[in-house]
Amino acid sequence: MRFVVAAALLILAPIGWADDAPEEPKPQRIVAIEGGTVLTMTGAPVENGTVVITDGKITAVGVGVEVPDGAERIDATGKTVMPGLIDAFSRLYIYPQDLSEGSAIAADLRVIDGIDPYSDDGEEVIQHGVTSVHVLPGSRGLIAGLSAVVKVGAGDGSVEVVSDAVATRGQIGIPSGSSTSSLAKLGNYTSIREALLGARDYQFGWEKYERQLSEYDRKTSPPDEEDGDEEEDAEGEDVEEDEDADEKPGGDEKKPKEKKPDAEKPDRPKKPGIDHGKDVLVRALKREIPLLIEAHRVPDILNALRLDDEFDIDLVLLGCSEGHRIAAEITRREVPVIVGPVSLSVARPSRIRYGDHSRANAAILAEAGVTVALGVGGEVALHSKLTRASAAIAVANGLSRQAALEAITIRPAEVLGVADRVGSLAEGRDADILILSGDPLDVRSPVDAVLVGGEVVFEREADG
Amino acid sequence: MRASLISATISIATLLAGIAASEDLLISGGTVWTVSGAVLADANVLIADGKIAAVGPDVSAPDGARVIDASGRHVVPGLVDAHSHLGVRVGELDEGVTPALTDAWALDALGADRDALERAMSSGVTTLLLSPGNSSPVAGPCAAVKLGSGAVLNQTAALKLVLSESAAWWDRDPTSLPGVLNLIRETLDAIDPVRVQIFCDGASEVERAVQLADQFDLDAAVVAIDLPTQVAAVLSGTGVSAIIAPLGLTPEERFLAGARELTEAGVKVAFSSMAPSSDPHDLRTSAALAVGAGLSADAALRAITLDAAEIIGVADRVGSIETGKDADVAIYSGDPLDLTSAIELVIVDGDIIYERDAK
Repeated sequence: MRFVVAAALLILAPIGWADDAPEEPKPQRIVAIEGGTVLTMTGAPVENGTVVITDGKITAVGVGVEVPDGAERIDATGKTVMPGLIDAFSRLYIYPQDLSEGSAIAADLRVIDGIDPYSDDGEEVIQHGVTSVHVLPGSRGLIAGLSAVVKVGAGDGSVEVVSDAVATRGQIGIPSGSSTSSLAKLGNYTSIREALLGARDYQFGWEKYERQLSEYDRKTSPPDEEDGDEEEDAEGEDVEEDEDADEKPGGDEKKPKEKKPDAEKPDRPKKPGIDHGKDVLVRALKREIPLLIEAHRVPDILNALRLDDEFDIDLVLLGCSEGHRIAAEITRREVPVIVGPVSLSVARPSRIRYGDHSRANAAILAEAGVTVALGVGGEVALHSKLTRASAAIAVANGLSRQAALEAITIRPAEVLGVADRVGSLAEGRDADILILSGDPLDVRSPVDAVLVGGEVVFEREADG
Repeated sequence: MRASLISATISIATLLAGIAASEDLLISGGTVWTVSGAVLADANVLIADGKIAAVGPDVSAPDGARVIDASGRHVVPGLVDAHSHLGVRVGELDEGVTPALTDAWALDALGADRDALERAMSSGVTTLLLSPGNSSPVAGPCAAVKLGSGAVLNQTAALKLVLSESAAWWDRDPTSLPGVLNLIRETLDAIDPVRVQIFCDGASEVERAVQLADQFDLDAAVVAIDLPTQVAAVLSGTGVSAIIAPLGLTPEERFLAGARELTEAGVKVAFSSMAPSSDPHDLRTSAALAVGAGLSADAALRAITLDAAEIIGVADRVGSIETGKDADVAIYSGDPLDLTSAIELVIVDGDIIYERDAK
């Protein structure tokens, strides 16, 4: 059948009818990675497993999975096959000056607007197995805007955006300039709280308006009392549509006969103004997106947790350097943590900022039951290549190897709301895959190959 | 004044050290990375009077010695950080107003940041070269000191010279690189330092450093944050060593591969933390990343132990596990260059300065 269509196209194309002809479905591109130990990150490792990729998505994972004829085959015998890594606290593609927006509350700034898709930093980062990064707006404002998860690419002008509105990012107690006093930090908390209260008022204002509007519409639209109850129920939807139509002039035939005296007609409710920043905070209040708060020292973390208690938001803690001292407080509220930097070597050394930072932080939090993702938290884009090193350092300081691998794959994907796309090897996920000869947590053993969206984007040359 | 500061450092160290120095120690059954020789499986290290008394599979503990079971673990020399500003209050090493500081001892500033010194005790680093900053062309003597004991191996292990822009100021002489070089030459005419560390920005400065080393017959090492790729060719065959910036700070692929290129060109290499720019705990992160970029594991370990000790002139005391050397060793849960390996115990001069389980 397909052949027939193709033949028809060949005939038709030269005489200019190709545009009108039904498009030939592209042949599927199938890739199979065979023979490796597959770390799916959703279950136990699969020995001698096969990963089948169809048009950039994973379509099967397991032992003895049937590989369709014509598939490209990649031999991973003796190797480890695992999801591409995620740096949950990255600066890839972002210029430092684009992180310095100083507005105190700017929840609607989008970090994605500051991305340089022609940066070639990604080419180096991807060699180290990092295929997705969480990039965040800067830490000068108190609520700095919307973070994003993007794929790591080759700097050819296209950056694949997995999510452009992961979370809105705030910070408490991050020193900017000289404002490092405890009062200034308290101001951070208070200002964010006031912003959330303001957003809640704004939300209530809109909800009230919508209630009043529907009340107004109900009062100003023709009553259906004469009709039977059954009929009213049956026509419920239609009545609503009529109400909408009611707003348009001449849109309702019934209107003239049900005309009420002007005196009885209520005032049309006043529409509140639109505030995009507050809209974003309302999304956080409705738990449509998390509120991500960078806080490092105990009082600042506690203040972030107070916001969680008061507003019942989806709080995600970022940084959380002194979290190890109050792990129980964090566990109790089931707040996930993006721990970073794991090593302060990638950050300007600042005890004022990071306090009693410990390389054992991730281990202690995980031990207490906190969901832990790791972020390199580096100052420059290329620091994202230290994702494996960060996980290894966490292991040396007590984190289990499994938890460390999860903390740079599935955990950040879950915490950032992109687990349906990245972070694990399962049917339906993007085929972002690493193939390694050695221990994934040993930085001495380089990554052999990296696939993004089923395409081999990096392959290490054989030694010699 | 200087003595009191040093003794202050020592007293903190003594406080943290769990046991008395005189006790004999036998570290038994570990995989011993001697660095100077082979890796010994299932070997013992005997420590007496703060020195390594014997190393080998048949070494036994004398009566009364404390035995530390290191079976399944790795025994590694204390790491040597070839360029550091650890334990100093930021800014106190930059006496830039005075351009030539042949007598301003970096050691005098040590101890102001005790917290940083204490934190570093769990890093596996036991010896560091404490260097002045980069604000003066002749920035002053660097001291080789130990963590924990605070012992000073050499107050004037090297004279720090600075060829980078940071040494030329607009409001005092010298104001330019030629002026900087003039002042350095005048100084080297007057004094004859046993060793120099020359801080450089780029390849042209590295070339000038090599010229200086040749002209004054100096035992020299260049220190650079931005070690350019062509440096391997410039340094090859000159006898000048290279001290590499922490790779976490310079994550470009060309820097990660720099140590391999230098080593292949026959240049002796040491990594450094440049603390507080990076955490001394990441000295071995540098070595591991360099291995990932092609450096041999053997050369990488040497670059943070014996070669680093040679570059800073203290290899007669530290940098390897050999009879007669200072008993500066650490016990790791696995291969020292596998970053997942934990550091379990650190010993300096026979004293335990860090024990993981105790924390």
